[in-house]
Amino acid sequence: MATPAAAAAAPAPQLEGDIKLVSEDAHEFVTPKNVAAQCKMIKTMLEVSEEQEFINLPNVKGKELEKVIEYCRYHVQADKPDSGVSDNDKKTWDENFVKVDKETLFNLIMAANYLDVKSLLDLTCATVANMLKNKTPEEIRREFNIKNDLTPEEEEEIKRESAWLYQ
Amino acid sequence: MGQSSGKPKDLPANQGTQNDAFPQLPSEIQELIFSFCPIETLVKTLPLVSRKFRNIIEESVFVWTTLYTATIGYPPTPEGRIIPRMKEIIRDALTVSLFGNWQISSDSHYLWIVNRDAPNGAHFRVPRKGPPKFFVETTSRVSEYTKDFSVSHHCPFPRRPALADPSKKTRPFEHDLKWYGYQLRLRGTHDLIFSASGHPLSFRLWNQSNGWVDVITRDETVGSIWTGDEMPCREIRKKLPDYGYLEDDAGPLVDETLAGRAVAASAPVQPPPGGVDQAPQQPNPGVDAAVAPPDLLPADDPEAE
Repeated sequence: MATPAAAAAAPAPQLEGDIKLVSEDAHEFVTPKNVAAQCKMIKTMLEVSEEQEFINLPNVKGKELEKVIEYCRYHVQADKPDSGVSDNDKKTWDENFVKVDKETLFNLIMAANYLDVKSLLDLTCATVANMLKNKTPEEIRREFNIKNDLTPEEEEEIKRESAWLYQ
Repeated sequence: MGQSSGKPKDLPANQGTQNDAFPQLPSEIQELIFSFCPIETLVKTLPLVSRKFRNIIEESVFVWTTLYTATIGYPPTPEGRIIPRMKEIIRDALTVSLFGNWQISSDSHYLWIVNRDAPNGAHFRVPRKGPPKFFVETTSRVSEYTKDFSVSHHCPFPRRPALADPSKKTRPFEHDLKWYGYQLRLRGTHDLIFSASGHPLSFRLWNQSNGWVDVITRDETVGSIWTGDEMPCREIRKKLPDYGYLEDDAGPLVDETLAGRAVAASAPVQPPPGGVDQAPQQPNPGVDAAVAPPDLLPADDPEAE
């Protein structure tokens, strides 16, 4: 560990080498630090302690951690200015990336939130938002197993409030 | 649509199963998801799903700020991040922009552009002198959106040959306005053009000076922008049967809904008291009688923005 004086003079960490990420269910992923650092939470931990060899992630299961790493790995490369990957290609890749079952998608949301990967959080949340579009309330309830606890009076009130959108 | 400005903090990962995952998501995450929904889904559909959904939407400054930003084109000021206020502005923006029965006229001070079908009586009032201002006026208040639109030189539409009598002295007037994300082009001498892009709109326009009618429509199903220059209105009527009641530009606008108003509007408009340089703060009565909706009376206590 560097002394405070040395730390003040030290350059920013270069994030070279690998780090082992350990999921809640004990899956281990050896990942380049610059890829792992796409997760702000991990980046902060790496900056605090450069010497650590592994990081335990008790709130993410292996299946989702693998997906998060896949996402970060792709974007580390694709987002480089000289990568030659077009925005359209990235968009297509992202769309394919989130073609997963609902459970995985929701777990990915939670993992992205926990690991603080903003772009992945936006992507996964937007995907769920798309699933809500063009559906009736009843269809949404069925799709997501939601109980309707609104009274008929409350439903009428809501419809009155949004009447301007029905013009 | 939306962009998260932050992240819900300190939430455990791995919740839920295939069938009940969504209800088990923390409210903060649901809120974030909702912020990506279109306004119609957010306002019309989601509150009817469950009480929790409704509460999240009603109480989420984040959701409404995101929607505001997506609708208006930029975020509200810190002081403006009040849910009822943001809802009101979004509502105004969408209402004004909705397809409707639009009329345009002018006097020596203002262009008046009124959507008679707007349930809140919203209309445009653009002064001919001085910096353009934009108003949304209802029976209960006047909101002056001096900061909510910008003047643009972007002019995507072909210029129409002037219809005005060249022997008459005209007042050149032209503004390209961008308001709430919609491009509005206003041009006034003796003829006026009002056009919009970015929204599938059809307008019926009426020029008080010569009764000229123009229709400018962007019909996304056709994929073109139609103007009076490019296509006679009667042909537009064929193209857009649902919109109906369009007249060509051969004569004054006369139809089942506007006949009386067109006659009334043909009366000369007198400048308001105070002369040309003193722009009226309320709708000009002479114009109001012809153009502004009956409920568009001066507000008792105008509330400036």
